[in-house]
Amino acid sequence: MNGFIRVLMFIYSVVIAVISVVLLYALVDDGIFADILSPLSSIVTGPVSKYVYLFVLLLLFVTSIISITNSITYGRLNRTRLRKTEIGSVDIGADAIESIALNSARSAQVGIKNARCHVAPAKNGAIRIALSCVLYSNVEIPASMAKVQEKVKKDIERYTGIVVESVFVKVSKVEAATAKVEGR
Amino acid sequence: MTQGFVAQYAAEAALQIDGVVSLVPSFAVALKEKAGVVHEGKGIRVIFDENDDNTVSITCYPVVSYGKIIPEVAWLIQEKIKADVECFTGLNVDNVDVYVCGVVEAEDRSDTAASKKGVSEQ
Repeated sequence: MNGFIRVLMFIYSVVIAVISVVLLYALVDDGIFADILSPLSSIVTGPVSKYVYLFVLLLLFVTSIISITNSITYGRLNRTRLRKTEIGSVDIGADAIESIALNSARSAQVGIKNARCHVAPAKNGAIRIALSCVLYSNVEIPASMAKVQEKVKKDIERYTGIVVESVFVKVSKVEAATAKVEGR
Repeated sequence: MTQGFVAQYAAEAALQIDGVVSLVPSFAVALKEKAGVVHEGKGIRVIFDENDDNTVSITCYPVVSYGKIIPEVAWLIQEKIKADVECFTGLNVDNVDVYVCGVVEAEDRSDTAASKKGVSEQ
């Protein structure tokens, strides 16, 4: 299914490229619209070609819808972890995992001012964590971020039982440490 | 026996578990609450079996406090809801699903205080 969607995406982007090139060419030669419109109208009125035209346009429309939904939900963990017991299933929402990661990053006491988190699925039911954080300026980034990675991984594995494949930390901004910084 | 009645028992049972902070109402229920209609047992969904009136399946949407081991809390919730609902209503609980919606920081910070100590010692 994924491969099929990828082929559709490829065709869709090629069509968009062709259309944009044609529209750009119209700047140079404005007679092109008449040249396109007359074969188009013969296609629409034709008995068989009408259905081909309909099919192609429907396909393009469906592809555009798919690409919109894909781009919105891209990379987000939507299937939550399932743990079957004899009574029922236990799911852990992505929000829950995210807030565990944020809490443990903050409680690592390495001068994280603010952080954001993104949970993505990985192979074999594991997850990947991406943290993007704002730090105070008096932080040794390599040492303390290694500490954060270790702590986040350990905490999530302990509290949820889900294997964490990797913790990716991105320092997006460093701010001057005017206020009191914890742990230093 | 109505859904709300069963849901109330289930909600009470879930909130008794140590580590459950609250239950998250679904979007429709939240709207209903805004409109002023009292909904019984929010954060719990009760579905009666189509063929058998005495069988229900329950889904619970809790928020767990930070520092608790989520699978253990969830198993406790399942057992407690199943036992309580079967005991009080006499219905047959088919399955109890738990969907942990969120985690909030707990009041007591013994766990984080310990880690703070460990960092400052270095």
